[in-house]
Amino acid sequence: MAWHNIAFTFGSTLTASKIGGLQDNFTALAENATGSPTFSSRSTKIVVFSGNGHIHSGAGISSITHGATGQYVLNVSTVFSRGTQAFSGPVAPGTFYRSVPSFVLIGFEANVAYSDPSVRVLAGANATTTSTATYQMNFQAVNNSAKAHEDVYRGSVVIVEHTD
Amino acid sequence: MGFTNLTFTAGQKLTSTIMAQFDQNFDALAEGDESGPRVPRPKVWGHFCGFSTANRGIYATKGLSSFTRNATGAYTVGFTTPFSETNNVGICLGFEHNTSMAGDTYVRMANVSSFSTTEVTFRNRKTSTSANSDDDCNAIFIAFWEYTT
Repeated sequence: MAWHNIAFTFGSTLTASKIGGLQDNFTALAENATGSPTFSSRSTKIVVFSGNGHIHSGAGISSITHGATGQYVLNVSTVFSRGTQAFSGPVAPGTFYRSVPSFVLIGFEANVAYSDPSVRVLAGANATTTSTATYQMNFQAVNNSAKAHEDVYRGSVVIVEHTD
Repeated sequence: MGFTNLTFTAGQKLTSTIMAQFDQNFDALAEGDESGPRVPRPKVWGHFCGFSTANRGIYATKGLSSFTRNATGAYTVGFTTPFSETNNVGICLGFEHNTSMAGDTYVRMANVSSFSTTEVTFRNRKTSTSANSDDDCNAIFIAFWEYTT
């Protein structure tokens, strides 16, 4: 629903159109419609997905490419902005580019037995420097004798992009 | 507080009831009431401690009603209001261990073990190059994001 920029002047008639526009703005605000004020810290992309890359629910993620076991590429509907990042230190001096979600929250469900010995991690894999159109991730399990990629049971990613 | 879908027509009288409903819609939007438009943000969140001592339990929450320590590194928390279903809910968590910043030889990770509309269970483990074991968290910070179109 579109956001209505409504102005009121002294003596003007409060029309049904104007107050109807105000009512519509509740939905426009929630949907972050163009021109509406942005709720601080709202998520702009969110997805809940299963281990084969199927999207259960979400917004702003058009599809997930499930490559090898434990590897997922989130394809975004609207590309991330591209920001510069200047390093001045001795390790990697120079200017680099980084796609800039303000922050990314990642969670997962591992449906394994309580006795399973491994620690598991779902994390971005060089995601912010690879492409502005994707966010790539991997899921791994590790214990004291082995390490392997696994398919996650259910993953969730919440992305917040704000420049304010 | 519920959200009221109001429509207006030319010549309609703006009653105090209508204007009160209009005003209450701000509250419904801010409170994330399910009857109104929803801003994508956490619906339920909390902070709990998993120790076996009296320190265990929920310290801060919106929407968590109970905490159970099932065993070392195994916890269950219940929701005040059940989710309508689980596949629309993204779960993100952070955790804290009662370890020194330097010298800890383990990698540790807490994650969701099972999730139903009424409760969620967590599992926390640690591993090093020589050993694995269950592990208790000093704190788990959890947020449930429900996205419905």
